[in-house]
Amino acid sequence: MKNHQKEELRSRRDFLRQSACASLGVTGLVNVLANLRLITAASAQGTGGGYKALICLFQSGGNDSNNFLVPLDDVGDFTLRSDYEAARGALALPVTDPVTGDPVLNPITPGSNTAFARHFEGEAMPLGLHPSCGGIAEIFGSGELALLANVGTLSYPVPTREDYINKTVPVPPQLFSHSDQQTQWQSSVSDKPFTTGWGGRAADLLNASYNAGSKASMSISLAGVNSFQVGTAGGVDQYAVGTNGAVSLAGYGTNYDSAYNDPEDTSLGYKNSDTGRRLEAFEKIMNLTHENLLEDHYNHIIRGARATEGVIGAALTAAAVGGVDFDTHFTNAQTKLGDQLKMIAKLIAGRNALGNSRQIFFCQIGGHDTHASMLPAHSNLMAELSGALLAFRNAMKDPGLDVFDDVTTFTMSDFNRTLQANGTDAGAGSDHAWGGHHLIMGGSVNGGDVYGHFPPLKTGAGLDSHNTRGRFIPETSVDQYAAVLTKWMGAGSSEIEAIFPNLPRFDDPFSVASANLGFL
Amino acid sequence: MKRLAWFVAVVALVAVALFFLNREQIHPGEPPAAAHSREALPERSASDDVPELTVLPIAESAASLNSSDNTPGDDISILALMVSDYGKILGGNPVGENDEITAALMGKNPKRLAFLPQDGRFLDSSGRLIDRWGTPYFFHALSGSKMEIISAGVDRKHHTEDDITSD
Repeated sequence: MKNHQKEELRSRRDFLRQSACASLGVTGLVNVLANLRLITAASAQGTGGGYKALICLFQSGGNDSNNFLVPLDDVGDFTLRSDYEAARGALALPVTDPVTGDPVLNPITPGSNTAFARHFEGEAMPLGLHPSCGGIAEIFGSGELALLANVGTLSYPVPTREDYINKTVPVPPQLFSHSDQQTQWQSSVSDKPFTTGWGGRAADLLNASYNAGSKASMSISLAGVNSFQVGTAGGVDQYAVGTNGAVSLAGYGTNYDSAYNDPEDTSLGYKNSDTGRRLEAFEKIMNLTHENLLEDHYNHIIRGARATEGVIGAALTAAAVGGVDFDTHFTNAQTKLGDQLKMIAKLIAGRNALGNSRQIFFCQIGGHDTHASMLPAHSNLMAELSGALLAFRNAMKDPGLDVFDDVTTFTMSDFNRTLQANGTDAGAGSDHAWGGHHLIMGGSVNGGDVYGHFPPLKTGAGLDSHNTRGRFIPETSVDQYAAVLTKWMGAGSSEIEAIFPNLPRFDDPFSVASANLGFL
Repeated sequence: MKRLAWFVAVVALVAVALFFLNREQIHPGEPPAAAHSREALPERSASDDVPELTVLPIAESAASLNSSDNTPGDDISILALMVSDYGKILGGNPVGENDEITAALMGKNPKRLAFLPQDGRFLDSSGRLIDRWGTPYFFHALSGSKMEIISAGVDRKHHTEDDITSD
């Protein structure tokens, strides 16, 4: 039995939350969250359930997951591989090297055929991962990584392509537009204007229950300000760090040594210099209160960020003496994504200094908008992803840290790309599409399996929302995917309802077996 | 006898209560099975009925598309204006592939407003907007209000140096 399955116990807190939530009535999402946050805080029984961290890895630009998870062969009447090759054309990845005959793709063996029940009569369809994803295949093989097929933004389930074409079911606005789809993935509320991200809403509620001794924000971003971690007013503010640690104010030297007499003891005052006086003046201004709410909150954010700098520094110091050699783990992952995950690994190692039992991280890898020359560009992206995940997994499993069971990493992206290539030569790429494949990695993940429903790859038929391009209608919504992740973090059913207001439109991911979402 | 009946009734009640309590504890935190039945789709209202097609004045500007009076950049500017007007009136740019965006501009939209005439030399046989060299434009949706419109240029190949892109 997985650790997370052992530790769940019904508590007085759950009872209070659920009874109180039932009395909230129909109010706006924000009011529900605000009320629930108060109830959660009032009913909190201190930190429980140990440490847990959720890491959102956003593949910005729209990852072509058609070449991430690839059919290897036809089976009987199911011409999955033939359909893949026919649509992909110049973008089709070969199963074997045409010269050497060596395997090109990384074959995987799912633990069940459930993902093939809906469209392939339960026949196991042979699948492989991109040639550059050897690391991911290794983690999948060790049962620590799951794949989720054909997930995407939905307002309601779209049962057939005719429902899409005839507009009989509402679909998210601005499908296939980068910024709208990024925002909808990160908010999960695809049919409403953006107000908050689902990571932010989850943090608002979980923070009250689990992070009583918090010294830093529960929501830390390695990729700057993002929609995912935007919470409700008065909730958890996201805090951005760089790949070298906290981002300090510029112009005051290393660790403010040009401005403070002693950076280690700021009570000794400021240096008698322009730089010292400038920092002193700036801090006085930031400590002013304002009647204007926007101005006041701006100062609140700056003060919080300045205070957190020291806490982040303490966490990194603790990580450095914890016995884990992060540089060695990330030797083969010296990339933008590798650097982000390395910093997350260090912050997890120094988590005691941050004082949080629940933590949500955000990192990002860009460059997926591969309209041209997709094959080489995508190969580099897959190599960066695979290398970074393998390094991060190994760091989390290092005996000096040993927190892999408590850390779950998952991917999101704007959308998948068209199965049909947009050209016939080496310069071909793929265009904006819809449902795509994603991964979930961690020691608590029921890995080594494919979840959701693998789609048939016929263009102009089946799930294709277009008549030629292979733009597949998702069969799992972002709401369902995210709800499973959020429940693992410790959210109860009433909190899930508040965080994901559209979830009741879809099959319950926790009780409807055919949804096939038991990856955690 | 009456006492025995009462005893049996009480035991039965306790057993039923224990059954439900235990069932809650087996799956803590989970909603009970079939906790929510799927929320129904919103009902279509009378306002969803399809109105008559209205051709807007901007559709007249399509007459100059792909003509020698225009530069390729002029053509793209005209299309960009149509897309922009569509976005302002319909609450967001048209979405999808070239054929879907063209159909939307020709009136396949909730208000049945035509920003383009129903035929012309700017269309190919598949109902796609084409440039003066006969290549379908590529529509790159950056956001609900920002659309790049790209002509493949003289070489008729997209994503090459001679592509012509809207601002």
